[in-house]
Amino acid sequence: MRWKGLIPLFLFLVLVFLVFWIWIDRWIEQGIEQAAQSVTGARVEIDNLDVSITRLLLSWQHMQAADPDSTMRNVIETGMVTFKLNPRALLYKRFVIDDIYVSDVRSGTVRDRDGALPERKKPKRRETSPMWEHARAEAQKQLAAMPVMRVDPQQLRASVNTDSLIEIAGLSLPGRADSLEQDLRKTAEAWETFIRDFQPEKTVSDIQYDIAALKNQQLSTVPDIMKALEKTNDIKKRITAVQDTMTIRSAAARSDLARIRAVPEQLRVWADNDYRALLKKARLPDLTFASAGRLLFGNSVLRQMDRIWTVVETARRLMPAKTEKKKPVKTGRRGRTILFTPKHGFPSFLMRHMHVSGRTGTGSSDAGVNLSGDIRGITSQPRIYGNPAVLDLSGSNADGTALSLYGLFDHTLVQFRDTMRIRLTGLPVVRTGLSISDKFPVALSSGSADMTAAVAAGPSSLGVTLDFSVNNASFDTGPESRDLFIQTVQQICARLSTVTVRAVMTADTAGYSLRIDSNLDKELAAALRSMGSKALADAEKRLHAHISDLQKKHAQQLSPLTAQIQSSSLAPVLAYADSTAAMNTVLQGFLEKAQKTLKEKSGTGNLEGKAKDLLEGLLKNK
Amino acid sequence: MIFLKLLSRLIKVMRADASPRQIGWGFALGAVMGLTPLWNLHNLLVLLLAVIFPVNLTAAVLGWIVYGMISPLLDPLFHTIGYALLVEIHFLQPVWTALYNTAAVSFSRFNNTVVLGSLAVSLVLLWPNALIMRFLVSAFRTHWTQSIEKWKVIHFLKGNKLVRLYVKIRDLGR
Repeated sequence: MRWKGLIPLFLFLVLVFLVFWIWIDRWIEQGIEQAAQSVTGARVEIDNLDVSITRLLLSWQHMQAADPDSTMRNVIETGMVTFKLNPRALLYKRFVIDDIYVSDVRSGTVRDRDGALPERKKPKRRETSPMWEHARAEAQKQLAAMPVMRVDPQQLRASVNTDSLIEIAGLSLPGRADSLEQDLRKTAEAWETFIRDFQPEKTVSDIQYDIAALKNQQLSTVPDIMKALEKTNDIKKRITAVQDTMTIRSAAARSDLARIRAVPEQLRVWADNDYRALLKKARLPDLTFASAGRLLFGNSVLRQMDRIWTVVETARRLMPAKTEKKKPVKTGRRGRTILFTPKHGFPSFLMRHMHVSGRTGTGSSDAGVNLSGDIRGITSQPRIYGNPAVLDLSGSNADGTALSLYGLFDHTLVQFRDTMRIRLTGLPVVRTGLSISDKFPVALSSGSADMTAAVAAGPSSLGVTLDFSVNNASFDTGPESRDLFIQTVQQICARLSTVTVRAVMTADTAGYSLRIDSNLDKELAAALRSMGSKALADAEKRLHAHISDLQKKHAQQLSPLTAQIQSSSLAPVLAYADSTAAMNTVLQGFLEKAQKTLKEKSGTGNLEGKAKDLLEGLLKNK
Repeated sequence: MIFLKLLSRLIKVMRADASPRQIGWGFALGAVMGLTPLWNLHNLLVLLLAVIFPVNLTAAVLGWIVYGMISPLLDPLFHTIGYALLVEIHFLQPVWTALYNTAAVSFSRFNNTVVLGSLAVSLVLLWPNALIMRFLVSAFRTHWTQSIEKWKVIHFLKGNKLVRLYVKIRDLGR
């Protein structure tokens, strides 16, 4: 045995350790900086990093990471950070930090010097939730194409433009009136032809003569009576013939007369139908609460939801949904590293408990909220660790603004579930970022805002709810707009002191939906409806006048024709009908007289019986 | 200069300084370091053994250099052997799993196919390496030194500058 040989070996190891000890701070500092720079794509600087190998303790005084999109600002800046590695886990090549203290965390702070890298490294592409990307894209598309965004007074007027409406809708009155006129002309022609061919004057005159002669006839004997009755029978037959013709014609005449008398009423009904059809076409555009809400707050809400989602996404990134794939260790020699089932229970990386304190503001002009709390269970292998990551931060500032964040990211199962709730109260409204749509020169200028945001996300679904309210609100409405619609918005805003907004976005494999409700959009929707109703009322008047004029015009056109038919065609026909009725009355009187005489002469023989039969026959045929 | 010193030491060793047994085992231990990837925990153990036991360190360095030069060429073979041991021989699985879950053993990177394969080969070659080297040293000392001295080509080369350099180097060790 050569125990003396251990001395140079020991000295060699001590030398190695010394070199390691002297340079380890610098190596680790550079290693962390370079690794972080390759991720962010901008400069990351750590100051005064200190490593205690014996205690496995690591700390630094200050760290700042530049924002790659704005290199004069930091995406994150921290003060003192201290943590200790778990020695037992380290023996298994696992980095487990039981407690880490991070103080004075800030974001968006201004840098002293440019944080751009000399040769800008392309940052690693951040994976964002496809579900959220899809939902946001759909929402943006819908907001851009929202019909109500095109609503303005001109559009309202255009939507009830009477000329274009009449043109589009088409009126039935003119066509029907023309058709009626042609029908009436045909009726007139038919009656004229009938009257020309039908000459009942001589027949009537003869009958009237015979009746007069009959009236003067002496009925002293039964043969006289018989002769008179035969004559009466003959007259009756002739009257019946005329009367039959007149009965048919007078019925037709009366029908035509009724039809002609109904022409003005018919025109009125047709005009009324046309008017109602036009009113249906003159409907206002859809001015529901939801559409007005989107119009006013859609883009702002979406921006706010996007910010909230960024927070969630950042937190989610710390907790991989799948167990990380271990990169092959570079040995300088080829080979494959075979993994076996770990039984020690340590994930590759675990930060059990992080004590965080910091501010949300970016500097002296924006002090923000002093925030502190705990973050627990951040790990690269959630399924091995078996517990969800929990984020619980809260704080307030001197002016009463309070902020709390609570998130639970459970990636311990394949069906992971992330929930997060952010509550902000008493925030001066100028710092909320939620304002009236860019489309309008109206903005919330002061007030105290409360906001609650809740996010729930799974592998194939997500939901974001945003409740926002501003008390003691005042608006900067700017100079009065000439645009009637914007003017209306300005007027509503001027009288409101409270604004409430509730937005709910959901997305899953079936689709996406965004609903925004607000007291302001309800007011606006009511005003828009009122504005639309006025435009509609004006249009109704114009349409009514137009249809009435049309009705009068056609009535005037048809009036001479109907008068002519009545006077020259229908009146004579009806007069004849009346005269035949009078003749029948006279004839009836004569028959009664003959009956009376026959009664007086009764019992004179067979001729008398015959006369009686004849008379009864005539009376029956009456 | 270090290389010349090393060469000088080697010649000295080959002539008489150490026993063939010490040289053989030194060479065999060096071969283990040469065949396996250097920065591994087991090599610290090998180094410790080489320091503690009275093996010849120059021979160990020689073994490390010789096998270190050829080992990259043998990596595919080491991978195949290592893969078979780690994956294909099922009854060994509990052993590997137990080792994997043993504190500090993970630093040995035994679960790398090339590391385990090369270590297995080097351990198999440990005894043959020691024996062969011992035999070669003995044979060199018994027969070859005097025979080589008699070769005409040696006489010719003695006048050569290179050979004079060799002699100079050889004498450095005396």
